[in-house]
Amino acid sequence: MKNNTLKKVTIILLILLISLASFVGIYAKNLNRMKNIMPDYKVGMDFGEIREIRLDIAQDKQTNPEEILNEENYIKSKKIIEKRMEMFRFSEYQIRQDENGYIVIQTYDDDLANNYMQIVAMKGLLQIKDNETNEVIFNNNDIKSAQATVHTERNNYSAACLVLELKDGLKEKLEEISRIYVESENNENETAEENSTNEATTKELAITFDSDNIVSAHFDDEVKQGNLQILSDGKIQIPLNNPTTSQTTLYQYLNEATLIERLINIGNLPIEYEISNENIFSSVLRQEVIQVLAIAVAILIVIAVAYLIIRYKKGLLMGASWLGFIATYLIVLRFTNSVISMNSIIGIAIICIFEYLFLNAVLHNKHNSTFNKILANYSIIGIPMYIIAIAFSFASIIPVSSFGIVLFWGSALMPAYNFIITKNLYSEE
Amino acid sequence: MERKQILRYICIVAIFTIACILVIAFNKFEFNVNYSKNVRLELDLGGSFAIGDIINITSEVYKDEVAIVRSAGNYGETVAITVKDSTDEQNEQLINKVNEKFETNYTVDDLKIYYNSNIKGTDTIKPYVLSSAIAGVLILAFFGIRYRKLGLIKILASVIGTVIGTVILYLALTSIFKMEINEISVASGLAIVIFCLMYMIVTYERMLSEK
Repeated sequence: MKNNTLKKVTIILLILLISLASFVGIYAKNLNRMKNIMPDYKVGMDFGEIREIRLDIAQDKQTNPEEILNEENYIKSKKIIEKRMEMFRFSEYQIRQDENGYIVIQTYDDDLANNYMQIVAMKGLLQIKDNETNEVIFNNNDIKSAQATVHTERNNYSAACLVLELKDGLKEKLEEISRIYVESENNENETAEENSTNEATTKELAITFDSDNIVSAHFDDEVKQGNLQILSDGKIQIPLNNPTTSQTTLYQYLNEATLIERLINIGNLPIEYEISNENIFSSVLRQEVIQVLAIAVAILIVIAVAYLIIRYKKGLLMGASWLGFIATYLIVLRFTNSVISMNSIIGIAIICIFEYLFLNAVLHNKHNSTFNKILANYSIIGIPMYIIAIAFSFASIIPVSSFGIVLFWGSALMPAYNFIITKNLYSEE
Repeated sequence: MERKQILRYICIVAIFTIACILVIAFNKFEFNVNYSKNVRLELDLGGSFAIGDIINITSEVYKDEVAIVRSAGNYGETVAITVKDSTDEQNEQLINKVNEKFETNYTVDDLKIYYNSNIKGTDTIKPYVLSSAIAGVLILAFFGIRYRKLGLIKILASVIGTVIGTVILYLALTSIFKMEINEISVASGLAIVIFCLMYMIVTYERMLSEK
């Protein structure tokens, strides 16, 4: 009996400690001031800062002629932007498009948004054209696929290359242009003076991506910047840099090639957009809002615990256990970096309600079942929740995955917590 | 007798479901300010403002309407107010109250007004489809395997019927009571479905033990 009381007191003290750590924090001296050393909650777009870009249709009639400004192209543009957002692994975003095609993209403000939001809005048009006449020879419509690769020579000199596979039926055209855009052979072994005049006669291709000139090049067998190659399988290889041994330079150009590869493979926007405004908005969660919410939740918890105390003899102990569970659950969510979004708040509420129902069942126990039996029954009852937790956790979009993840951690914690804490508080032995 | 009861039950459920569907079809849903067409008013106050003061001013100008107030810009120098709509009169009133509070001389021309289109319902629902479908199949498999002794077809039909019925009822109630569709609407619906399924398990477990 004495041992049992001591055990219960110890558990209550433990719950008190966990609750203090979870609801108040653990403070330690850091740079001459007290700082909460508990990890912060990771918040989603609903509660965090938002970055927004507004895309207006470019007014230039040459880039956006009247006939392409139609609903079909507006919808296509939005879909391509969505694909790009997914490709860059934006896990939380909203895209609005009005009837005039204008687009507003909002996403959680982080490094990803900082680095890629503007790229998402690029037209993504690759053109291979005559350097002098600007006549377009190939563009995205002729390209089947693109791939960023590294070409390494025997002496360990490497260049980042973009390899383009043209659509079927364009091989002859490629062979034809590879005979035109080459360095003039009769110019070799001539004086420097003569070379300078002959350079002008070498027909070059300009490879552009949107308005940027990636490289001006002609066909050759050797890999160096400015030389195009036709590979044995009929693909064009475009080196973006002169072969180098510097890994930093190679990495930088390979990143550029990878970016172009990804944008080409997804497809270019049929309409050219320009960023008219970019802004960052603060979180809606301010200190006073958090305080109001905390008070509201505290009132609900007090009412629920009061019900247990009034209704059941062991209500106080189970109420303490429930508080301890909520505190432990919140600590688990902090340490597992679970994203707290509006949806995950609902997930947390589901878990807390389910635990409350379980404690109610333990106290009610009308069939005189053992604690383990009730726990096993509730484990079966929770199966739809476990399935939803796992299925939703793997989603790539935060509002969906955050819901699954909080359910998952709650479902994993419940049996463990109840077996270790609640059972010992409840048992008479 | 039992067959008659089942028929009566099916009739009641069918009438109820049709009534709910009609309600959903003829009653428009109310979307919250974030999801519907909205207007965002931005005013560069140079950072010298307390967001609480702006909230007070906004609630005086827009009264019962929901307004989202945030600070904006790299240094939080701008205030951004998002409302469903703002008339010229309300814009004027807003500027006057800001001038009165902060002793400034802004005019309506200083207010940057951005019109935002709504977020499509399909865009909101789309991310949930695959996960819900996978979860749905797995849950049906669980019910089918665990309670097959109670009649596989009967169990699966009742699970599907109950889930669909619950969702329709939820949507109908949302529509009737003009509850706003917002960030938590889908998750709330899922929560109701989860508890509904749990209740079904309790019932079937009892039936299984009685058998």
